[in-house]
Amino acid sequence: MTATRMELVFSEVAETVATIAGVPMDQIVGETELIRDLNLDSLAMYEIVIDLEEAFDLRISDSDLDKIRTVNDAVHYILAASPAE
Amino acid sequence: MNEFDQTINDLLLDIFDKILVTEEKALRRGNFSDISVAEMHALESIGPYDRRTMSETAAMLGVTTGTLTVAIDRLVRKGYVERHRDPNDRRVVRVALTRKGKLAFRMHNKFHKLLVDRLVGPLDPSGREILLKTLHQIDLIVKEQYERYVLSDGTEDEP
Repeated sequence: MTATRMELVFSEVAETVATIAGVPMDQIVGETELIRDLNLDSLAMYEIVIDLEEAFDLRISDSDLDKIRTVNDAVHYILAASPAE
Repeated sequence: MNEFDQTINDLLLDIFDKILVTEEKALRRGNFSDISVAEMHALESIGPYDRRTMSETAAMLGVTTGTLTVAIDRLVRKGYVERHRDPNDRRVVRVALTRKGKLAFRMHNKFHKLLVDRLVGPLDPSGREILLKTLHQIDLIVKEQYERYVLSDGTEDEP
């Protein structure tokens, strides 16, 4: 896994989260908690899930979503679910 | 009917009614108040990840493609579904959920998940096993009646 790929995934996740949460992208860091820090409800969480599924061509089940608490959790989930070609 | 049988009968009818009404009310109160439970079930049949043909979707819902076309037209107008030509066969039309359709699907799924979690959560493994067996049995009997009455006279539900 290269740092570049991790950065790319982080950037996409951060942009998606910032857009849905309606906050500037520089407010999003790896430790940002989606529900607690950004006050996201389940509709907003699903918006993020659907946009990330589309961006990375993967499927995120509800049980996997329950384990994603922070931005970093989402980044690591995506890296594990869609390894670099 | 003795008292025991009457209670079983009342419970079954009550559960059936309440699930339908709760589903409808949950939809009305949520962000997707412009679709009916039947339309939501059409979204469920298409699924969030597939592009299904009209005949596949109609078969899953147990309706004719003509009936489904009317429902899909409505869902396309409301922005939940989009039609695509099959790239391998231009005569075939496939339907898929839009982003809004996927959101509605997942929120509705969450409603069902919460319902099942509340039901199953307090049960121990043997209780779960008994519940599963009993529900399978009920499903089998209801399916037999469905096939006997509904399929034999060619009527269908409105999606």
